[in-house]
Amino acid sequence: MGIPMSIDIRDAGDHSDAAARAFAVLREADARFSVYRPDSEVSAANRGELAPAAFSADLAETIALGEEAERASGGAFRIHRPDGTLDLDGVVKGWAAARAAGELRARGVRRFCLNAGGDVVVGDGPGGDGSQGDAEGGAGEGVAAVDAWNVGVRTPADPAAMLAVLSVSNAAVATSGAYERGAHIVDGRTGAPATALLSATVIADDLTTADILATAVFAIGPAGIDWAVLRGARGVLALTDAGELLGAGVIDFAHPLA
Amino acid sequence: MSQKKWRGTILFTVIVVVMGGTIGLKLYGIGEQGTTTTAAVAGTTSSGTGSSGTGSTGTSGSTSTGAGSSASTPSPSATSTPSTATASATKVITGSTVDTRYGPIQLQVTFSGSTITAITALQTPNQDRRSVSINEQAVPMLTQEAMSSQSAKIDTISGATYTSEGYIQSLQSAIDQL
Repeated sequence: MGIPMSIDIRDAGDHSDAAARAFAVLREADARFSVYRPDSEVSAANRGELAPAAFSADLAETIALGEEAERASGGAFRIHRPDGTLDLDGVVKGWAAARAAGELRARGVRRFCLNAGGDVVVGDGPGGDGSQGDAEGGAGEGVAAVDAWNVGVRTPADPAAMLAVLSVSNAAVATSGAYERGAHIVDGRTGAPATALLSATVIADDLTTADILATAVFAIGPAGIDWAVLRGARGVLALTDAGELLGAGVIDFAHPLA
Repeated sequence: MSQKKWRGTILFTVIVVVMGGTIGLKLYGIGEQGTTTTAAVAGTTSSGTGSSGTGSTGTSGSTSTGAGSSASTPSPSATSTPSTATASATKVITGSTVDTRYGPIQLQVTFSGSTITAITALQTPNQDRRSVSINEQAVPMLTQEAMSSQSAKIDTISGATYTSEGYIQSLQSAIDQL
Protein backbone atom coordinates (compact mmCIF):
# COMPACT_ATOMS: atom_id res chain seq x y z
CA MET A 1 0.00 0.00 0.00
CA GLY A 2 2.62 2.56 0.99
CA ILE A 3 1.58 5.97 2.22
CA PRO A 4 3.82 8.81 1.09
CA MET A 5 5.04 10.71 4.14
CA SER A 6 6.89 14.02 4.19
CA ILE A 7 8.46 15.70 7.19
CA ASP A 8 9.56 19.33 7.12
CA ILE A 9 11.65 20.38 10.13
CA ARG A 10 12.62 24.02 10.62
CA ASP A 11 14.39 23.79 13.99
CA ALA A 12 18.08 24.54 13.92
CA GLY A 13 20.40 21.55 14.06
CA ASP A 14 20.36 18.04 12.68
CA HIS A 15 17.13 16.17 13.36
CA SER A 16 17.54 13.33 10.92
CA ASP A 17 17.42 10.75 13.74
CA ALA A 18 14.04 12.06 14.88
CA ALA A 19 12.77 12.04 11.30
CA ALA A 20 14.06 8.49 10.77
CA ARG A 21 12.24 7.38 13.91
CA ALA A 22 9.01 9.02 12.70
CA PHE A 23 9.28 7.24 9.36
CA ALA A 24 9.88 3.97 11.17
CA VAL A 25 6.68 4.42 13.17
CA LEU A 26 4.69 4.66 9.97
CA ARG A 27 6.37 1.63 8.45
CA GLU A 28 5.68 -0.39 11.61
CA ALA A 29 2.03 0.65 11.52
CA ASP A 30 1.77 -0.38 7.89
CA ALA A 31 3.31 -3.76 8.69
CA ARG A 32 0.89 -4.30 11.56
CA PHE A 33 -2.35 -2.95 10.14
CA SER A 34 -2.31 -3.29 6.38
CA VAL A 35 -5.09 -5.51 5.03
CA TYR A 36 -3.04 -5.73 1.85
CA ARG A 37 -0.20 -7.55 3.59
CA PRO A 38 -0.95 -11.19 4.36
CA ASP A 39 1.65 -11.15 7.14
CA SER A 40 0.08 -8.22 9.00
CA GLU A 41 -1.56 -8.66 12.37
CA VAL A 42 -4.88 -7.42 11.00
CA SER A 43 -4.74 -9.97 8.19
CA ALA A 44 -4.04 -12.71 10.74
CA ALA A 45 -6.96 -11.49 12.85
CA ASN A 46 -9.22 -11.43 9.81
CA ARG A 47 -8.27 -15.02 8.96
CA GLY A 48 -9.29 -15.98 12.48
CA GLU A 49 -5.76 -16.99 13.41
CA LEU A 50 -5.58 -14.51 16.24
CA ALA A 51 -7.99 -14.36 19.14
CA PRO A 52 -8.99 -10.86 20.36
CA ALA A 53 -7.27 -11.63 23.66
CA ALA A 54 -3.99 -12.05 21.79
CA PHE A 55 -4.24 -8.73 19.97
CA SER A 56 -1.30 -6.37 20.41
CA ALA A 57 -1.83 -3.24 22.50
CA ASP A 58 -1.71 -1.15 19.31
CA LEU A 59 -4.37 -3.20 17.59
CA ALA A 60 -6.57 -3.18 20.68
CA GLU A 61 -6.14 0.59 20.97
CA THR A 62 -7.07 1.32 17.36
CA ILE A 63 -10.05 -1.05 17.51
CA ALA A 64 -11.23 0.74 20.66
CA LEU A 65 -10.88 4.11 18.90
CA GLY A 66 -12.79 2.82 15.90
CA GLU A 67 -15.57 1.31 18.01
CA GLU A 68 -15.94 4.55 19.93
CA ALA A 69 -16.33 6.40 16.61
CA GLU A 70 -18.85 3.80 15.45
CA ARG A 71 -20.96 4.46 18.51
CA ALA A 72 -20.58 8.23 18.35
CA SER A 73 -21.49 8.42 14.66
CA GLY A 74 -24.56 6.25 15.01
CA GLY A 75 -22.95 3.58 12.88
CA ALA A 76 -22.08 5.79 9.91
CA PHE A 77 -18.40 5.27 10.64
CA ARG A 78 -17.46 1.59 10.60
CA ILE A 79 -14.32 -0.44 11.20
CA HIS A 80 -16.02 -3.74 10.49
CA ARG A 81 -16.87 -4.82 7.00
CA PRO A 82 -20.21 -6.47 6.24
CA ASP A 83 -18.48 -9.87 6.43
CA GLY A 84 -17.29 -9.05 9.95
CA THR A 85 -13.62 -8.56 9.12
CA LEU A 86 -11.69 -5.53 10.31
CA ASP A 87 -10.89 -2.54 8.14
CA LEU A 88 -9.04 0.01 10.22
CA ASP A 89 -8.21 2.35 7.33
CA GLY A 90 -10.34 5.10 8.82
CA VAL A 91 -8.37 4.98 12.06
CA VAL A 92 -4.84 3.80 11.45
CA LYS A 93 -3.42 6.40 9.09
CA GLY A 94 -4.20 9.30 11.40
CA TRP A 95 -3.31 7.34 14.51
CA ALA A 96 0.07 6.29 13.09
CA ALA A 97 0.91 9.74 11.77
CA ALA A 98 -0.05 11.25 15.13
CA ARG A 99 2.31 8.80 16.79
CA ALA A 100 5.05 9.69 14.30
CA ALA A 101 4.56 13.35 15.21
CA GLY A 102 4.82 12.32 18.87
CA GLU A 103 8.21 10.80 18.10
CA LEU A 104 9.35 14.12 16.69
CA ARG A 105 8.11 16.03 19.72
CA ALA A 106 9.68 13.52 22.11
CA ARG A 107 13.03 14.24 20.47
CA GLY A 108 12.71 17.98 20.93
CA VAL A 109 11.51 18.89 17.46
CA ARG A 110 9.24 21.91 17.72
CA ARG A 111 8.90 23.49 14.28
CA PHE A 112 7.70 20.71 12.06
CA CYS A 113 5.14 19.81 9.47
CA LEU A 114 4.38 16.15 8.91
CA ASN A 115 2.23 14.92 6.05
CA ALA A 116 1.22 11.28 5.82
CA GLY A 117 -0.89 10.56 2.79
CA GLY A 118 -2.67 13.89 3.01
CA ASP A 119 -3.08 13.80 6.79
CA VAL A 120 -1.18 16.67 8.36
CA VAL A 121 0.27 17.34 11.81
CA VAL A 122 2.06 20.62 12.48
CA GLY A 123 3.96 21.85 15.50
CA ASP A 124 5.09 25.41 16.04
CA GLY A 125 5.14 27.55 12.93
CA PRO A 126 8.07 27.42 10.52
CA GLY A 127 9.47 30.66 11.90
CA GLY A 128 11.59 32.43 9.37
CA ASP A 129 12.55 36.09 9.16
CA GLY A 130 14.34 35.70 12.45
CA SER A 131 11.22 35.54 14.60
CA GLN A 132 11.89 33.13 17.42
CA GLY A 133 8.77 33.71 19.52
CA ASP A 134 6.02 31.22 20.07
CA ALA A 135 3.22 30.99 17.55
CA GLU A 136 0.67 32.59 19.83
CA GLY A 137 2.82 35.56 20.74
CA GLY A 138 2.06 37.89 17.86
CA ALA A 139 5.48 39.41 18.52
CA GLY A 140 4.59 42.91 17.46
CA GLU A 141 4.63 42.24 13.73
CA GLY A 142 0.86 42.39 13.46
CA VAL A 143 -1.73 39.82 12.56
CA ALA A 144 -0.24 39.09 9.14
CA ALA A 145 2.95 37.82 10.74
CA VAL A 146 1.29 34.85 12.48
CA ASP A 147 3.85 32.08 12.57
CA ALA A 148 1.91 29.14 11.21
CA TRP A 149 2.02 26.55 8.49
CA ASN A 150 -0.06 27.04 5.38
CA VAL A 151 -1.98 23.85 4.75
CA GLY A 152 -3.72 23.70 1.40
CA VAL A 153 -6.94 21.72 1.13
CA ARG A 154 -7.05 20.20 -2.31
CA THR A 155 -10.22 20.33 -4.38
CA PRO A 156 -11.91 17.01 -5.08
CA ALA A 157 -11.64 17.60 -8.82
CA ASP A 158 -8.00 18.60 -9.07
CA PRO A 159 -5.21 17.62 -6.66
CA ALA A 160 -3.26 20.71 -7.62
CA ALA A 161 -6.11 23.15 -7.08
CA MET A 162 -6.86 24.40 -3.58
CA LEU A 163 -10.30 24.71 -2.07
CA ALA A 164 -8.71 26.93 0.54
CA VAL A 165 -5.40 27.34 2.32
CA LEU A 166 -5.53 27.05 6.10
CA SER A 167 -3.16 28.65 8.56
CA VAL A 168 -2.41 26.24 11.41
CA SER A 169 0.10 25.61 14.17
CA ASN A 170 0.13 22.92 16.85
CA ALA A 171 -2.81 21.23 15.21
CA ALA A 172 -3.78 18.46 12.86
CA VAL A 173 -5.68 18.60 9.58
CA ALA A 174 -7.30 15.63 7.88
CA THR A 175 -9.34 15.59 4.71
CA SER A 176 -11.59 12.80 3.58
CA GLY A 177 -12.81 12.64 0.02
CA ALA A 178 -13.87 10.16 -2.61
CA TYR A 179 -11.62 11.67 -5.23
CA GLU A 180 -8.68 9.34 -5.47
CA ARG A 181 -9.67 5.82 -4.55
CA GLY A 182 -13.24 6.22 -5.74
CA ALA A 183 -16.19 5.92 -3.41
CA HIS A 184 -14.38 3.96 -0.73
CA ILE A 185 -16.10 5.38 2.32
CA VAL A 186 -19.37 3.67 3.07
CA ASP A 187 -22.15 5.06 5.23
CA GLY A 188 -22.38 2.20 7.70
CA ARG A 189 -26.04 3.00 8.36
CA THR A 190 -27.04 2.23 4.77
CA GLY A 191 -24.13 0.18 3.44
CA ALA A 192 -24.03 2.46 0.41
CA PRO A 193 -21.09 4.65 -0.56
CA ALA A 194 -21.31 8.09 1.05
CA THR A 195 -22.01 10.64 -1.68
CA ALA A 196 -23.51 13.70 0.01
CA LEU A 197 -20.11 15.35 0.47
CA LEU A 198 -17.29 15.64 -2.01
CA SER A 199 -14.78 16.31 0.73
CA ALA A 200 -14.64 16.92 4.45
CA THR A 201 -11.74 18.61 6.22
CA VAL A 202 -11.36 18.57 9.98
CA ILE A 203 -8.93 20.65 12.04
CA ALA A 204 -8.36 19.25 15.52
CA ASP A 205 -5.79 19.20 18.30
CA ASP A 206 -4.48 15.77 17.29
CA LEU A 207 -4.51 13.80 14.07
CA THR A 208 -6.16 10.69 15.50
CA THR A 209 -9.22 12.82 16.24
CA ALA A 210 -9.03 14.82 12.99
CA ASP A 211 -8.71 11.71 10.82
CA ILE A 212 -11.56 9.78 12.43
CA LEU A 213 -13.82 12.83 12.42
CA ALA A 214 -13.05 13.64 8.77
CA THR A 215 -13.96 10.11 7.73
CA ALA A 216 -17.07 10.19 9.94
CA VAL A 217 -18.23 13.57 8.61
CA PHE A 218 -17.78 12.26 5.08
CA ALA A 219 -19.85 9.17 5.93
CA ILE A 220 -22.57 11.07 7.81
CA GLY A 221 -22.95 13.91 5.32
CA PRO A 222 -23.73 17.58 6.04
CA ALA A 223 -25.31 16.74 9.41
CA GLY A 224 -21.90 15.48 10.50
CA ILE A 225 -20.33 18.93 10.32
CA ASP A 226 -21.91 20.26 13.48
CA TRP A 227 -21.57 16.83 15.07
CA ALA A 228 -17.81 16.91 14.54
CA VAL A 229 -17.48 20.31 16.24
CA LEU A 230 -19.23 18.87 19.26
CA ARG A 231 -16.93 15.82 19.16
CA GLY A 232 -13.70 17.77 19.35
CA ALA A 233 -13.07 19.34 15.96
CA ARG A 234 -11.74 22.90 16.10
CA GLY A 235 -13.12 23.56 12.66
CA VAL A 236 -14.80 21.72 9.80
CA LEU A 237 -14.83 22.68 6.14
CA ALA A 238 -16.89 20.56 3.76
CA LEU A 239 -17.91 20.67 0.13
CA THR A 240 -21.28 19.15 -0.73
CA ASP A 241 -22.05 17.30 -3.96
CA ALA A 242 -24.02 20.39 -4.97
CA GLY A 243 -20.87 22.48 -4.70
CA GLU A 244 -21.86 24.14 -1.46
CA LEU A 245 -19.05 24.99 0.91
CA LEU A 246 -20.08 24.49 4.51
CA GLY A 247 -18.12 25.47 7.56
CA ALA A 248 -18.38 25.21 11.31
CA GLY A 249 -16.19 26.02 14.28
CA VAL A 250 -13.11 28.14 13.82
CA ILE A 251 -11.19 28.08 10.56
CA ASP A 252 -8.15 30.28 10.05
CA PHE A 253 -7.35 30.92 6.43
CA ALA A 254 -3.88 31.77 5.22
CA HIS A 255 -2.97 35.23 4.05
CA PRO A 256 -1.80 35.46 0.46
CA LEU A 257 1.50 37.00 1.46
CA ALA A 258 1.97 35.16 4.76
CA MET B 1 -39.66 0.09 -36.40
CA SER B 2 -43.37 0.52 -35.97
CA GLN B 3 -42.78 1.75 -32.44
CA LYS B 4 -40.44 4.39 -33.77
CA LYS B 5 -43.05 5.58 -36.19
CA TRP B 6 -45.53 5.75 -33.39
CA ARG B 7 -43.23 7.96 -31.36
CA GLY B 8 -42.73 10.13 -34.38
CA THR B 9 -46.39 10.58 -34.77
CA ILE B 10 -46.93 11.50 -31.16
CA LEU B 11 -44.05 13.90 -31.35
CA PHE B 12 -45.45 15.59 -34.36
CA THR B 13 -48.85 15.78 -32.85
CA VAL B 14 -47.28 17.77 -30.07
CA ILE B 15 -45.48 19.97 -32.54
CA VAL B 16 -48.60 20.53 -34.49
CA VAL B 17 -50.44 21.61 -31.37
CA VAL B 18 -47.69 24.07 -30.59
CA MET B 19 -47.61 25.26 -34.14
CA GLY B 20 -51.34 25.59 -34.13
CA GLY B 21 -51.15 27.71 -31.04
CA THR B 22 -48.49 29.95 -32.47
CA ILE B 23 -50.13 30.27 -35.82
CA GLY B 24 -53.42 30.83 -34.15
CA LEU B 25 -52.04 34.02 -32.70
CA LYS B 26 -50.61 35.04 -36.02
CA LEU B 27 -53.84 34.39 -37.85
CA TYR B 28 -55.07 37.76 -36.78
CA GLY B 29 -52.45 39.38 -38.94
CA ILE B 30 -51.87 36.97 -41.78
CA GLY B 31 -54.90 35.11 -42.97
CA GLU B 32 -53.26 33.19 -45.82
CA GLN B 33 -50.55 31.48 -43.75
CA GLY B 34 -53.20 29.77 -41.69
CA THR B 35 -54.10 27.68 -44.67
CA THR B 36 -50.50 26.67 -45.36
CA THR B 37 -50.05 25.28 -41.88
CA THR B 38 -53.20 23.28 -42.02
CA ALA B 39 -51.78 21.56 -45.05
CA ALA B 40 -48.53 20.89 -43.19
CA VAL B 41 -50.47 19.26 -40.40
CA ALA B 42 -51.88 16.70 -42.75
CA GLY B 43 -48.41 15.98 -44.17
CA THR B 44 -46.71 15.40 -40.85
CA THR B 45 -49.23 13.01 -39.43
CA SER B 46 -48.92 10.67 -42.36
CA SER B 47 -45.18 10.61 -43.05
CA GLY B 48 -43.75 10.74 -39.53
CA THR B 49 -40.20 11.88 -38.94
CA GLY B 50 -39.43 12.66 -42.52
CA SER B 51 -41.70 15.62 -42.46
CA SER B 52 -39.75 17.55 -39.92
CA GLY B 53 -39.00 19.92 -42.73
CA THR B 54 -42.54 21.11 -42.49
CA GLY B 55 -41.68 22.70 -39.23
CA SER B 56 -39.78 25.31 -41.13
CA THR B 57 -42.81 26.34 -43.08
CA GLY B 58 -44.04 29.62 -41.85
CA THR B 59 -42.57 31.73 -39.10
CA SER B 60 -43.28 29.24 -36.35
CA GLY B 61 -40.49 26.89 -37.47
CA SER B 62 -38.21 27.73 -34.58
CA THR B 63 -40.96 27.35 -32.06
CA SER B 64 -41.83 23.89 -33.26
CA THR B 65 -38.25 22.63 -33.19
CA GLY B 66 -37.92 23.77 -29.62
CA ALA B 67 -41.05 21.96 -28.61
CA GLY B 68 -39.98 18.87 -30.51
CA SER B 69 -36.61 18.50 -28.82
CA SER B 70 -38.00 18.96 -25.37
CA ALA B 71 -40.65 16.39 -26.02
CA SER B 72 -38.43 13.69 -27.55
CA THR B 73 -35.43 13.59 -25.21
CA PRO B 74 -35.55 15.25 -21.81
CA SER B 75 -33.65 18.07 -23.47
CA PRO B 76 -30.06 17.09 -22.64
CA SER B 77 -28.76 19.78 -24.94
CA ALA B 78 -31.04 22.39 -23.50
CA THR B 79 -30.05 21.77 -19.87
CA SER B 80 -26.44 20.77 -20.26
CA THR B 81 -25.35 23.76 -22.26
CA PRO B 82 -26.40 26.37 -19.71
CA SER B 83 -25.01 24.32 -16.82
CA THR B 84 -21.59 24.02 -18.41
CA ALA B 85 -21.74 27.68 -19.06
CA THR B 86 -22.47 28.48 -15.42
CA ALA B 87 -19.81 26.05 -14.21
CA SER B 88 -17.09 28.17 -15.73
CA ALA B 89 -18.90 31.38 -14.93
CA THR B 90 -19.81 32.95 -11.61
CA LYS B 91 -22.11 30.90 -9.42
CA VAL B 92 -23.52 31.95 -6.07
CA ILE B 93 -24.45 29.21 -3.65
CA THR B 94 -26.15 29.70 -0.32
CA GLY B 95 -25.21 27.08 2.20
CA SER B 96 -27.65 25.60 4.63
CA THR B 97 -27.62 27.00 8.13
CA VAL B 98 -25.19 25.04 10.26
CA ASP B 99 -25.79 25.03 13.98
CA THR B 100 -22.50 25.24 15.78
CA ARG B 101 -21.94 25.43 19.48
CA TYR B 102 -21.51 29.15 18.91
CA GLY B 103 -24.86 29.45 17.19
CA PRO B 104 -26.13 29.16 13.65
CA ILE B 105 -23.78 30.05 10.80
CA GLN B 106 -24.89 30.38 7.22
CA LEU B 107 -22.56 31.22 4.40
CA GLN B 108 -23.04 32.32 0.85
CA VAL B 109 -20.20 31.29 -1.43
CA THR B 110 -19.46 32.68 -4.85
CA PHE B 111 -17.59 30.43 -7.25
CA SER B 112 -15.89 31.42 -10.45
CA GLY B 113 -15.55 28.01 -11.97
CA SER B 114 -14.20 25.97 -9.08
CA THR B 115 -12.47 28.95 -7.50
CA ILE B 116 -14.08 30.66 -4.55
CA THR B 117 -14.20 34.38 -5.17
CA ALA B 118 -16.31 35.47 -2.23
CA ILE B 119 -17.79 34.14 0.98
CA THR B 120 -20.46 36.10 2.73
CA ALA B 121 -21.85 35.32 6.14
CA LEU B 122 -25.62 35.58 5.94
CA GLN B 123 -26.19 34.46 9.49
CA THR B 124 -23.72 34.73 12.34
CA PRO B 125 -24.04 33.89 15.98
CA ASN B 126 -23.92 36.90 18.27
CA GLN B 127 -25.47 35.99 21.60
CA ASP B 128 -22.87 35.51 24.34
CA ARG B 129 -19.30 36.79 24.56
CA ARG B 130 -17.82 33.65 23.05
CA SER B 131 -20.17 33.91 20.13
CA VAL B 132 -19.27 37.53 19.62
CA SER B 133 -15.61 36.73 19.45
CA ILE B 134 -16.32 34.03 16.88
CA ASN B 135 -18.53 36.44 15.04
CA GLU B 136 -15.85 39.08 14.95
CA GLN B 137 -12.92 36.84 14.21
CA ALA B 138 -13.85 33.58 12.58
CA VAL B 139 -16.62 34.65 10.27
CA PRO B 140 -14.79 37.64 8.81
CA MET B 141 -11.88 35.29 8.32
CA LEU B 142 -14.12 32.93 6.40
CA THR B 143 -15.49 35.81 4.43
CA GLN B 144 -12.33 37.64 3.56
CA GLU B 145 -9.55 35.14 3.84
CA ALA B 146 -10.95 32.04 2.15
CA MET B 147 -11.16 33.89 -1.10
CA SER B 148 -7.65 35.20 -0.95
CA SER B 149 -6.18 32.16 0.81
CA GLN B 150 -6.18 30.17 -2.41
CA SER B 151 -3.30 32.23 -3.66
CA ALA B 152 -1.31 31.89 -0.43
CA LYS B 153 1.95 30.02 -0.44
CA ILE B 154 1.45 26.38 0.47
CA ASP B 155 3.63 24.43 2.88
CA THR B 156 1.76 21.16 2.64
CA ILE B 157 -1.48 19.71 1.34
CA SER B 158 -4.31 18.02 3.17
CA GLY B 159 -6.27 15.49 1.15
CA ALA B 160 -5.66 11.81 0.72
CA THR B 161 -2.92 10.68 -1.60
CA TYR B 162 -3.14 6.94 -1.19
CA THR B 163 -1.82 5.76 -4.49
CA SER B 164 1.67 6.33 -5.75
CA GLU B 165 0.27 7.71 -9.01
CA GLY B 166 -1.83 10.12 -7.00
CA TYR B 167 1.21 11.21 -5.07
CA ILE B 168 3.39 11.65 -8.13
CA GLN B 169 0.76 13.88 -9.69
CA SER B 170 0.18 15.75 -6.48
CA LEU B 171 1.32 19.18 -5.61
CA GLN B 172 2.68 17.70 -2.38
CA SER B 173 5.30 15.81 -4.33
CA ALA B 174 6.26 19.05 -6.03
CA ILE B 175 6.56 20.72 -2.63
CA ASP B 176 8.68 17.84 -1.35
CA GLN B 177 11.09 18.39 -4.20
CA LEU B 178 11.65 22.03 -3.27
